[in-house]
Amino acid sequence: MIYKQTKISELKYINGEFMFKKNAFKCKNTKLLLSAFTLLSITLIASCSGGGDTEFTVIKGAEIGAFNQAQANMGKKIFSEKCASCHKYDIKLVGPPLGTVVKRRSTDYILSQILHPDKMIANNDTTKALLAKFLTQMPNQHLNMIEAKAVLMHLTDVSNGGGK
Amino acid sequence: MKRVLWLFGAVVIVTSMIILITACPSTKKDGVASDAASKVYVAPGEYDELYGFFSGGFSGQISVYGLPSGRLFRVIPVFSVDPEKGYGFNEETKAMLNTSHGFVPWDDAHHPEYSMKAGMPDGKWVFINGNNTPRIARIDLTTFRTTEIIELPNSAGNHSSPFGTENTEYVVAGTRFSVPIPNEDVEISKYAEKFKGALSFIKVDPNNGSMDIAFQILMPGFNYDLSRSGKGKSHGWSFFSMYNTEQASTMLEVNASQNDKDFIAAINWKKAEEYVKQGKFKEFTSSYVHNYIDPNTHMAVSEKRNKVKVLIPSECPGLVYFIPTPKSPHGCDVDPTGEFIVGGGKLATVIPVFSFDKMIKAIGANKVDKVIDGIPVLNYQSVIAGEVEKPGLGPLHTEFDANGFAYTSMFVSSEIVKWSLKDFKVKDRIPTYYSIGHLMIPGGNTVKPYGKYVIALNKITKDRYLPTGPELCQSAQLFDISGDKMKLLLDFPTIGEPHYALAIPASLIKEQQLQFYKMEENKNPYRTIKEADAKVVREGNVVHVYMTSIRSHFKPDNIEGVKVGDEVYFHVTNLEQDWDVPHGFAVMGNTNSELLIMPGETNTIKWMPKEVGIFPFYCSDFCSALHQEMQGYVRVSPANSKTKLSWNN
Repeated sequence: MIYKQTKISELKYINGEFMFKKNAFKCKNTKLLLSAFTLLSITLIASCSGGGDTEFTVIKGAEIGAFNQAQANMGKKIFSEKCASCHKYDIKLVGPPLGTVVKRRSTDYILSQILHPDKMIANNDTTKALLAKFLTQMPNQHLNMIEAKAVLMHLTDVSNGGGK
Repeated sequence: MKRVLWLFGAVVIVTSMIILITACPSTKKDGVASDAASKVYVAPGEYDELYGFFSGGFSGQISVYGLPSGRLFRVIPVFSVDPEKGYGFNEETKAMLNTSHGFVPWDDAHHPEYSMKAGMPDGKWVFINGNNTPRIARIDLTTFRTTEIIELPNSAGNHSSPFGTENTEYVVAGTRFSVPIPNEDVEISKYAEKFKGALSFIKVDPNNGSMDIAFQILMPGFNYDLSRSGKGKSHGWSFFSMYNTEQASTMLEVNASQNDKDFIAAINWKKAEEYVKQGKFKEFTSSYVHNYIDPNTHMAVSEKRNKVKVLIPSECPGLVYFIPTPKSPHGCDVDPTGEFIVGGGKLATVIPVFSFDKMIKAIGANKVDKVIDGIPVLNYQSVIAGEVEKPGLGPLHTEFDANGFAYTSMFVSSEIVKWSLKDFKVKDRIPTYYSIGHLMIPGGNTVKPYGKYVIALNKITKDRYLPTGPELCQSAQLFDISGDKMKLLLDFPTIGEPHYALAIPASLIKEQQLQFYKMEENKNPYRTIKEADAKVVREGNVVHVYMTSIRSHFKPDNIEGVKVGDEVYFHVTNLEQDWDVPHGFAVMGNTNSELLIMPGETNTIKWMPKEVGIFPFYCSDFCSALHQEMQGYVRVSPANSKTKLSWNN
């Protein structure tokens, strides 16, 4: 549940842990506070009434930012060392092909899956379904957030026809 | 009527006797405490409070148990090869077992010792002696792996070892068998004249644990048996017990049991350091080998050495003193304050307790009865603090609790005897099953013992467990010592002979575990850090296979063009980067072990294909649901075949 709330706060990566930004709820006027409250309530309700937990992600509200070739190149190197044993771009191998993964999954989903595969398998119904299909649990390759974002940038590059 | 009454009475008596006998609490023959189960029970998923490191004796290994539960966690290969882990078989660890005699795949591992700071374990390393081909090994407690082994020159039978000093400045080694130094072809009957004993002091680097022989002391040709180093006020001294001061070379059983008193040697190692600094040593030539795992490549390196500094007691006054000790002493244990040195005389009727303060006074007042090879023999009465009378039969070793009590193992009478360091009187005794050798109190050799238990390390179990053919298991027994009376809580069988053991609080070790080797730090020259780099390279008749493994496949998994007569090296890198995901690697018909590769590590196994055909290989450590699919084939062609070397990638 704690992860749900982070939707309206800012998630920070501090000392290897994801933490709330301390003053996320400190609002300057009551109007903002009220709207924050409303948003929180909607989020909570939405998450509770969603049926399965396909919405679950460990990371919430992450942004990858504008395309950056240097970052994409870094991601390509990491992908070849830590991911390519099991993932190709266009064919199924040990895991699903990832050439267009950025079109079918959210940024939060992809980063969560790279950084916290164990938590995703335990909580996210999409990941559970994928495990049932592929049968090999995705290993935690212990990337950090910067590396994971670089891999995501590389996959964005690939989906746009570059990077391979 | 009278007869009826008698009969009735008899029936009542018999019945009540039966009731009494059957209703007796089930204390069994050995009086197990009624709350024993709850005191050693560690619920599923819960952790033990202590790591116990038990030497395997003739198994050459160390086994790791949780205490107080007695649950076995791991066997650490040290001096003996272990095909399960590839230890001594894979190319990375083979060199760890090199000695000046060549590759020695076995030894007899007796006494684990922990690294210490201010007389307390610091959780960094465990040291252990190899008895047969004299060596000391160091185990890293972040990986639970043997990372260094140093051979001891001028020695034969390294028994009184490693027994470190208060801050692990040194670990020590005393030769059990005296031999000619340098070793040479002489008549054995010239024992007294030609044979000598060497006591070695091995310096330990406080940062990385690396061992180096600082100096040896050349002693008379006796049998050096056990050792302890001083602590607190006696820090700076080490004590070695010895027998066979008769200098017999045959039938020691009889001939080395003649003298009423043998000795404990007190070595002033701070003095030794001064003599070494002053250059008062002789440099002896003697070859020995130093092996260690390179921290970057994870490959064992063997270095040959041939020089050692030797101090001669007759030329170094104040370096060594002999304390007369009855009779063929075994243990010489130092209490937590550093004041008392307890001798365990196998054949003695008392346990002699020496005083460090009295020893220093006796040295000052020159209370010397005689001199042997330049070593003063101190007067017994001037050094003795007290004798524990009627302790039992065959006192061997003594450990200490935090409350001023000592616990001595009695080999012949199979019991532990608790006595007071205040009045040297026996306070309690409890049987062990059977023939106890060493005993261990967690922290019992430190300045501040922290154990609520004493653990008996027994040589014989006889009727204690289900029998298993001609050889029965050996065992440890755990007793509660928190009250006045010792209580038996648990028996558990051990790997090999549980010769000695030590225990370290789990909190010191648990958090520092290495979870996996970081791929970017893997500097093994044969690593393959990504699947795309997997390849096969031929250099003459040597074939190098650079292979990767990840759940659940190898790359390459089809290799052709290998020929009969080739020497094939599989360098397998485990690409996983998560805790506890090893992969195995095994080739059909390989006259070698498997590999068991930790995440981020590269291991190499050699294979000499001798026949033509297809040879499968597979992962031997169950890694995922598709583990059974983790396999591959090598095609072996005739020596003269033109099959091109190829592989899939």
